[in-house]
Amino acid sequence: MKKHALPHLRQLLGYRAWQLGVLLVAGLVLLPAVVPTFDLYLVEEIISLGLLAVSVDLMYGYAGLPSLGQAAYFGLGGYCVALMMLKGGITAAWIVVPAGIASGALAAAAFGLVALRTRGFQFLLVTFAFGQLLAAVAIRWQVVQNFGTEGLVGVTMPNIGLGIYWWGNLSTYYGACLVLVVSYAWAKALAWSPLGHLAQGLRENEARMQAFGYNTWWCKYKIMIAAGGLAALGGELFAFTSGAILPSDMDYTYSGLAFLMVVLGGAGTIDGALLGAVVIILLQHFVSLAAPARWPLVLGVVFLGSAVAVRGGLTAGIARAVSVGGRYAQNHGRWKF
Amino acid sequence: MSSTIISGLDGVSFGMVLFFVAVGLSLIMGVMRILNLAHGAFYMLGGYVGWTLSVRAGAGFWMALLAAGLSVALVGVIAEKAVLRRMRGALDNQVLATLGLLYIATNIVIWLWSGEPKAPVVPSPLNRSVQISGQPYPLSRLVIISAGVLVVGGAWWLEEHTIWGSRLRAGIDDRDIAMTLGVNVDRLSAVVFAMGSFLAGIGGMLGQIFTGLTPAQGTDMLLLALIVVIIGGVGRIKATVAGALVVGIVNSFGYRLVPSLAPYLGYAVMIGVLIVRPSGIFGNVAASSK
Repeated sequence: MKKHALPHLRQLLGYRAWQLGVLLVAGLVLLPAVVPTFDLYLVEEIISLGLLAVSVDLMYGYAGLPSLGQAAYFGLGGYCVALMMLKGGITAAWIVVPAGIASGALAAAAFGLVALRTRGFQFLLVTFAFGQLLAAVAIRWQVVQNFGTEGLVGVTMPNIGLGIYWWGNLSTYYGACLVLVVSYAWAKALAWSPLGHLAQGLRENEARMQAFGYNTWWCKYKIMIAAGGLAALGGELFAFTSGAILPSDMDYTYSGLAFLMVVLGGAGTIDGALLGAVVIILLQHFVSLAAPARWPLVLGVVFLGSAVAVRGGLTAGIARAVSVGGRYAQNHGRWKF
Repeated sequence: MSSTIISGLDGVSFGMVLFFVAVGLSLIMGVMRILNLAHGAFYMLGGYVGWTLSVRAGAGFWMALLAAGLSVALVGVIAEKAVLRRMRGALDNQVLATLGLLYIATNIVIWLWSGEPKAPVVPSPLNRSVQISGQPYPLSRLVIISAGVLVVGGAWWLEEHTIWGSRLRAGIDDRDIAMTLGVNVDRLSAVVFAMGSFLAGIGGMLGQIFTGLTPAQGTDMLLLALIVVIIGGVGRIKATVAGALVVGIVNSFGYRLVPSLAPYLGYAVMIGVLIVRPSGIFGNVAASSK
């Protein structure tokens, strides 16, 4: 686990954090005014995968559990809502959305009993194998396929029952933004809760937390369930906004991508996971426009580069820049951040 | 009865191929504490290099086998020296770097050899069948079994009965104490990495006799090798042998008895082992808890 010598961005910005938050939310609200409506799907993809990355951050950045199978819960959430809507005929958001979250949380609760018997890189191997197992089931099982495709296609936004039956590009976008804001607040609350602090403590030194009398297994188990539910919510949003969920959405590709987003942005910050999602999805978009066949190659180089060069992630980099700027301002009395 | 023997032989021969891949993964994990997710890609590269040499360049099978092993060992040494060595203790960086190598290798393979599956190359003197309890059985698989037995025996002898083996075991069990006692663990790690990559390359050339070649093999074999390591345990030759044989035999009997469930049986065994004995059948508790 990398230790951050520098304070988190939030601590540096102090009370200005909420101002920054208001600014970002305003930016999200006003974004459709400057971005072509069609490109809003990119933001929706960023949000879906960003939630997956946040769940990896809760697991790895907070509790020190290196999960390389988090996309399994992502896919489960997506498949759960797609099955209910396409094969079960249930479209009410008040039913399908909680059901999808529950599917991820329950799967994590069941799998956690096995996976938490290991630690370190064995935990990573086991979660990796679990993700590949679910993807293998999804590839072969006819029940989770339609129209002769590999997965379930034709998913629409759910019916929220307020007399709104029709989702346009804009309302879909704002729906996704709402999910982002609520999940972000929830994840931050979890991170700042006693459970979140206990998780960070056991990440640094599990034996010591046990000596203090904490039940560290129970803490890891709860974090795992919470992260599973959050990843499933991301998968639901992904299915709703992209209209399809495929076996390849739950294998190691997205798990690895989410891991990359977390490390690139800065583990243990939540903001970093979302920042990483923005960077990676935009990069994917532009590289795929230029050279679709070479995207995996570029991605591999990005992976390798982040492993070699990134220390503490983008959030730590920004914090460093801000603190250098702040010191400059203090010394020269010119401007304060 | 005869089909049981056939399935058993299939299982053992595939288990030997799995051993070639998994032994490097397991020992590297043990001695370097590095998880090399690119190890499956090393296997795949070995297959493609050997296939190209024997189909395009007309090299003999044994020549191609050796070249596959050596070229992959070279790639492994470069990867270890340039990237992985500095990532000891940082699991997140290891994952990113080796996953990156996996992506790069897979995409380069697709670039150079196209995504089309390649038909298996079987060496001509071995490309015939022998009679086993009244049924024809490909000779090449028997050769794989004997090659595997030789390598397993050699590796086990090296590990248990030579000074290098004791140094290796010491480095796996307690790295710091081994270094204090004068074992050059870094050099040991480099040698293990090179040998592990060499065996993965050989495994790739032997494995393509079963499966042919596809660019997806880097991931598929990685997954099987990980299951082998989880079942057997980290850091011992006998652990890898046990894991590889279990997975190979479960696989072959699974496909004969319950074909629809066969792809999942390996996972089921893995979960069972994790419940009963999380460090694996012959797991080294010290090495797996770090």
